[in-house]
Amino acid sequence: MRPRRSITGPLILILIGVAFLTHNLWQTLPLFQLIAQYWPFILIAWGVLRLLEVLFQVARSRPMPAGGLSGGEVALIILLCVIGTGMYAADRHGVRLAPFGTTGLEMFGEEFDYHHTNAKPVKGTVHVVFENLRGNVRINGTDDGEVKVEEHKMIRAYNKGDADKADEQTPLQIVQEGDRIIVRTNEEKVSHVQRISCDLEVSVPRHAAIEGRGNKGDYDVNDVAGGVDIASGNAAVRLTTIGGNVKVDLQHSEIVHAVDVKGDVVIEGRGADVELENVGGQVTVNGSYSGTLQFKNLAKPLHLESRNTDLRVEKLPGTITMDLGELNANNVVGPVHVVTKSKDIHIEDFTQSIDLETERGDIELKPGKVLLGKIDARSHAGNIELELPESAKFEVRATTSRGEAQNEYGSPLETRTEGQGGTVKGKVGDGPMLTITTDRGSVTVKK
Amino acid sequence: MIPGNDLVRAVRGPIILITIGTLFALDHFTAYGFHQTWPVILIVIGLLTLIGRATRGGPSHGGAL
Repeated sequence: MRPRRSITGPLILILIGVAFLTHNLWQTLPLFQLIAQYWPFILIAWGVLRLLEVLFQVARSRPMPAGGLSGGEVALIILLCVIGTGMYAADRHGVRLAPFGTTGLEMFGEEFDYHHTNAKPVKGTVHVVFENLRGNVRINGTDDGEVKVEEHKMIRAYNKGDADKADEQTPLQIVQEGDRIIVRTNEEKVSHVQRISCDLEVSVPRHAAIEGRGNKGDYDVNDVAGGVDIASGNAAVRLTTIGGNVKVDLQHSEIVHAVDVKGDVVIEGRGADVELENVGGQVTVNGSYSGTLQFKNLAKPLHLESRNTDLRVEKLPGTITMDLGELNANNVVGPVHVVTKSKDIHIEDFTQSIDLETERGDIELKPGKVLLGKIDARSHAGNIELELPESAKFEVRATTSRGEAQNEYGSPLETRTEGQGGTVKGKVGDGPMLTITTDRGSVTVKK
Repeated sequence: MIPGNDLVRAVRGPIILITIGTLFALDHFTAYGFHQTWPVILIVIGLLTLIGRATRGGPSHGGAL
């Protein structure tokens, strides 16, 4: 009896086919990130499959494959591990692959350009909705009482006749529906949506509220007194001088940048960089960002929640900069709360209480002139350094389970070595309790 | 009948594969990095070899395969 050939090979082929098919059909699906994250489960599934095969053969008393795995399979597994690890590292460092399907299609044919203009006078408060699948939208608030749109449409086609037809099928419309004004480019009316892209240059009455929907294309909004709500598959969003609340929900983004916002800001989804400056309302960031996050001058609480980090600050007169490996803060008003997985934390000039926890990473704390609240900092593996102002009153207890306890503050603090670790302990006047703890690493208290 | 030794040899590859997959998954989703957990692979290989030997030394078995 010849042993049956393994079914793993064909199954892998099917899996790859399904992956590319989903990618072509749902282009906004972050396939690269999904594979980078979940590829180890392919190994597990593969192993389970082979195990089941062996058990199946045993049950039927058939001869078994001698080595379990063939040489070709081992090579393939090693290749998968190398590629998977590479993709994971690349994903963590913010590398994004362009969707294969779209770039492939865009290489064929010739590009034809069309320009259209449309305008509609409006009265009272207005809510303007943009429905533009592909293309950049730039919106400016003006004193004119109308919504005016200049459209630059790019169509890829094999000949001008096809392009003209596609242009006719996708008219630029400004429609009033209830209290909303909808600007529509109708790109979805043609079969090859990927071949049409519309850039819009828009002016709206300054008091308008903006709502943007799209698959791919940047949004620039300037000088608008209403709220801004943008949801897109892939967009860079830049907002300046916004009077109302801002909500941005993106599946991919190079950057979300907002300056001078009077209302609340909510940012959700995935992306690279986030930059917020001069925000009057609450700021909530919830999602996964691989680049640098920068916050500057926030008048109300900031709450940031990502896969590895939870950060809460009551008010931010200064700055917070955060990337994958580091969190730097300067001039913050607490209570400050940070829980993170692997980051070095450096916080300077803060008031009120502070509560920090990191799995892997060093912590450096430099409070402002007056200590007003308690400090609680914990690292599982990393050095912690606490630099206290000259005149401060406090009670400190710095402990390490494995590492050196250094007292550079001098008396009246005392250092004690316990087993592999040590403690710096003491009291200066009547002040808040400062507790710093590390499982592995040094603790240092200094002036 | 199939000797136990053959079975152990046949499942060795798949079990190591599952172990490696699990360790990478732990690396991605928990605080235990692959650089910390890799010795588990050695332990699994060692255990499988031991089990293989134990089944070979059975009373009904004589020569080599």
